[in-house]
Amino acid sequence: MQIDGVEIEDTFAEAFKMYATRVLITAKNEKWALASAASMTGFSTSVIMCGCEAGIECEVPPEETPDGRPGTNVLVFAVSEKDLETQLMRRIGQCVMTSPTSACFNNLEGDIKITIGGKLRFFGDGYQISKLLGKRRLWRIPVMEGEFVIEEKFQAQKAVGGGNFLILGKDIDHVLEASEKAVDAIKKVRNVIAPFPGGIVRSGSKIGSRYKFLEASTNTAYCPTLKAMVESELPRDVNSVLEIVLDGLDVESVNEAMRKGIEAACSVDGIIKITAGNYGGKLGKYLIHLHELFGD
Amino acid sequence: MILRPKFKAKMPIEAECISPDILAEKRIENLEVYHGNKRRKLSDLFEILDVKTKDVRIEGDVGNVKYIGAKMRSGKIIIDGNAGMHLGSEMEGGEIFVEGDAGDWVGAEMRGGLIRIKGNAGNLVGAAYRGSKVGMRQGMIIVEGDAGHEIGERMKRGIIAILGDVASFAGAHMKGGTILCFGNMGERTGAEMDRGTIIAFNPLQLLPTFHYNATYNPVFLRFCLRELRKYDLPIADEHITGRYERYNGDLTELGKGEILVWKG
Repeated sequence: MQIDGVEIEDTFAEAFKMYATRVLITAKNEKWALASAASMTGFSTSVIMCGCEAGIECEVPPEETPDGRPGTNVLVFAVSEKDLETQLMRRIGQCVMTSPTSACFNNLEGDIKITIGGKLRFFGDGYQISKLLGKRRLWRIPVMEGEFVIEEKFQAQKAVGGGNFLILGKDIDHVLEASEKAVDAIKKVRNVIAPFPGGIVRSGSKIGSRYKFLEASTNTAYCPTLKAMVESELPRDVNSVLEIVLDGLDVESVNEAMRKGIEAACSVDGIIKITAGNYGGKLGKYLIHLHELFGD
Repeated sequence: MILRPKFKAKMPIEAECISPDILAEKRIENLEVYHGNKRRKLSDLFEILDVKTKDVRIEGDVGNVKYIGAKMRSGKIIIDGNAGMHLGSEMEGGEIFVEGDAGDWVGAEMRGGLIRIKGNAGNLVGAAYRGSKVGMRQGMIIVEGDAGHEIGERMKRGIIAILGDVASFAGAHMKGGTILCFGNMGERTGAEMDRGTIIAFNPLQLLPTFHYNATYNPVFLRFCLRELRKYDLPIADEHITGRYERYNGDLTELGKGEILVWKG
């Protein structure tokens, strides 16, 4: 199968069950809503070392936010409900509550409820105030700047982590351009984030290592500089590979994001092949076959 | 269901059975009301039509009928005229709409649901009954006209919005919840309140036991007012984006209540 002359390998991405929530951060203006969201989603590329995977999903116009101020949607993914709660507590407490003019609202209807504002409220040292509006309870925590408003509970749901595809090209310039176009296309899909820097990974990994203390190591089969030294998966004319990793609230959204991302990547000259990372289908709950994304 | 009053007597009637839940669950011919100190059949006092519809419409003035919708859990009551005392008292859910005025104790000790009065309401809207520690616990009461004394007395949660003026002692002994007044507020607003929020959109005479804290635009209020716009309240953009003076009190009590005064 080919798209714009680029070979799409007959393989699949292997994705995993995760737990996710959507946090809406509002602030006085877009600048501060984004600043708070950027801080909250810092150091959150992979659950392996960061505890969660998080990213900015989209900006939200004032007319669609609860307080009528500009907002930013953040998606946070973790491997368990407990991990999700831990990460939300840390990240909202340290990155959102501290951010000037911010407020923090649940923006997901899920079947799992996680108490965050109901715990952060104790920062108010007894001067916190609860407001129940319909079924939503807000906490007003007095801070030096004024008041930090946060919803008592955030809702979460089962989600999908680890959707991916690899872009193989003749050099880094073309592969990076294709990756950037892929990420731009993915950003237009709701319910999905690409948590790595700029949405792109250059250091994909394989399970295991020759060193016993390491559980994962560099993906040697896709390292162009090792083509002649290992059992390489790279054609002779491929000199650079970048990976796009995706997390989504549901597999349909991940599929759509992968489809649009691959199409965008294939529109760039110098791209030779698109493939995906998997573990033989033995570990992940979701197997996303690349050809099936395009109805083949 | 449609109820048409057949009575003209001034003698008060107590009709707790006028509730969509009770009318749907029980045999209508067995329902009794008190007319003065006498038990009467509901059907003696009201012409009852369209019995298969759960929602209740009262076509006429029932200003001397007490406890309409008391303890109701669901459904809707529409009253084309005035309503008597204790309307929707202790109600848990559902909606009551009154085209005219309502008497005292509207939504007293209410636990949920919505009451909307197009005219004026009497005293003690959403209040606690005498001897009781807690008034309104949840739900919303909207009075499009004026309201009397002691509205929201001892209320703990929920929202009372008065579009006109309110008389004295609004929010007295308040423990939580929110009172909004778009008109003028009477004397001793928030007297002995522990917690809760009173929002005044016009200047008012504050008790000396309320202290000024700051002037700011409360984010929670933006959220609250935007939600209340869904109920067709006269909330202007300036109310949402404007600044409010925050006073805490009543310092004769816990002092964690607040009065927010809109400054534009």
